[in-house]
Amino acid sequence: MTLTPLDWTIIGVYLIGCVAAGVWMKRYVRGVEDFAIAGREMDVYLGVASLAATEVGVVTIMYTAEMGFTNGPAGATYGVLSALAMFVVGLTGFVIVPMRNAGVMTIPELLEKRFGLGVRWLAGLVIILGGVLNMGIFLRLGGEFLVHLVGLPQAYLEWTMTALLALVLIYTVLGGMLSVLVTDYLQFLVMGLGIVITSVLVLWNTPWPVLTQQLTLAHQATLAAQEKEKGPPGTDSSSKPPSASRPTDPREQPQAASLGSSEVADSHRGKALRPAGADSVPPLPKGMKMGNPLNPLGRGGLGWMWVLWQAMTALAVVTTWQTTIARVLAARDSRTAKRVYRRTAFYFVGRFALPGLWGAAAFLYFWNQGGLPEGIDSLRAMPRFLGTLLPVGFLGLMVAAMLAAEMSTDSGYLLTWATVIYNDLLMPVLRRKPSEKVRLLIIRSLVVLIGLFLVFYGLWYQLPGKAWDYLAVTGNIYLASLFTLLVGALYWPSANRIGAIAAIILGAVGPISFLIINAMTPEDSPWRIQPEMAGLAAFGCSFAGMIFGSLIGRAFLPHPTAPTRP
Amino acid sequence: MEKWEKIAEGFWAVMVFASIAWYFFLLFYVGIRGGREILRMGHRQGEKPDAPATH
Repeated sequence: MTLTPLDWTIIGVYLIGCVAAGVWMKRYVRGVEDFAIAGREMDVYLGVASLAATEVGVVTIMYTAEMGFTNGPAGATYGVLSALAMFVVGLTGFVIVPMRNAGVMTIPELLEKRFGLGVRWLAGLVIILGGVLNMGIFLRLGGEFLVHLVGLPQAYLEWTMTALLALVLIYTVLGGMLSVLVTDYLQFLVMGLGIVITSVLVLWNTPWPVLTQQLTLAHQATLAAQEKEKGPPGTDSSSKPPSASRPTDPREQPQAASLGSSEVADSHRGKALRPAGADSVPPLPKGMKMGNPLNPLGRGGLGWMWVLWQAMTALAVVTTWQTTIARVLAARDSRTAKRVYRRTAFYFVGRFALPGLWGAAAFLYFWNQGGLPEGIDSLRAMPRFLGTLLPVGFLGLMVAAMLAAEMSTDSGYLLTWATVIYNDLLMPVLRRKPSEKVRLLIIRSLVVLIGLFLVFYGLWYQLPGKAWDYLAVTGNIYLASLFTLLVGALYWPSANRIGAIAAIILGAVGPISFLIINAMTPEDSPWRIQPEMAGLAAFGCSFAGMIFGSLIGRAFLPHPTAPTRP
Repeated sequence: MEKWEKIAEGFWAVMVFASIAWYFFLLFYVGIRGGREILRMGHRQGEKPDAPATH
């Protein structure tokens, strides 16, 4: 599909408006505090727009759609957990209130007050390691989305994304957080419009009842195929799923039976449905399978371990993920920060449920087409599907919306990681504090350097496994450690430096082991570590490190450090 | 079992349709309120003395 002049106009107006607004904010930057945390002048609704825009990037849309492609609506379970965690934290002020009241610019700066300079430096290093590794895949995935949506030649991917990052760098380097807030606001509006229109079109093409019934059939076909792979029919007839090859008795399959041929034909507005004739469970094409689409804890679902890991991750993200916390620290006061959290919470359900809906509809579309085309996998299926679905005119809006999602995330992340390197890695080791002008130059240079790193590392990196699992595990490198450190620092008077260092080291062991062992072992090896095991182990090890390390430290530290009260 | 599947289907339907409605509502609500806040933030930043901020 090619873009029409109308599509190009929409994209051009958006890009020019966004960069102009960002550059305009440069006039208000007088020092590092204005640059890094917008002079702590952010109010509630600007905070909602900025938080939502930063945390919904193209990479988010890609991996949440992949979850919908492999698990149907149940793939949005993390979105629900995330919204719950954010609402509870916004209600209670857990972690975010004492952090905002401490008047710090980054999380490690707060940790120094309790555990000393060494822990601040180490925590900063862990944040950068986990955060930048995490961000490493953003550009490539964002580019792949655009390539598959618009039908661009693959060779243009690197150039397109490099040009986009250059635009982001222009306004982020000049205006810092002030520019990020204003451009996030514009990007929130464009992105929101694109998401709403696309979701309505997908539901028009694939009505909800048909979608869930067809996904349930796909799940049954997956179970049948798995049973077949295990060997001859088992002795346990009660757990045997409906066969994929034999006609199905309607009494055994009330859902399949309830979707009669005429109903399917009537509701078949688009291309995303199975052909009529739901009297049997057709086998799925090679490479396609569907988990339990409605119940994450049911048979073939994501499982208890995964849900528990994601619940822990959700709580850790809303309290320690530096790009999220940057909005807390930029808020006018702790009350504003709490309100931003409460009002953004439900947005995080849609962050997973809506792209998940697109991914689930893409599954049905390709099932109907006989399988995924060559070069398309579960991650790339959704943009290819949308490219066939969106009419001319809407495509330009969708591209602008996805550019908005990519730009807002990139700018927020670039600024955040540059601030941590400046504030927690560089400044503590400088003997003499440089002038304000030099400090501004340093932090701006760091933004450019991280941008350059992303172009070379991000655009050439090959993603192992499912995108969401990779993001969650690399993010866990610091989520587990920092969450433990913050809870210990703010709420446990006996926590000390030895416990903090043990928590950081042990919290990183699980995710790093996952990356190394899984890179060295073949796909079917029993030695491979499941992402949920690595993630949960990281939290467990980190908490154990904090508790036992602090107890041991009490015996060796001559003067226990005074606790920072929330 | 079928009852739980119906409940789960209803739950996800509520999540999806409520998300679309919420995103649509926020477009206008945050659009208006956030726009005003940007103007106020610019005004406050403009009124600050020129002395460089410290942290």
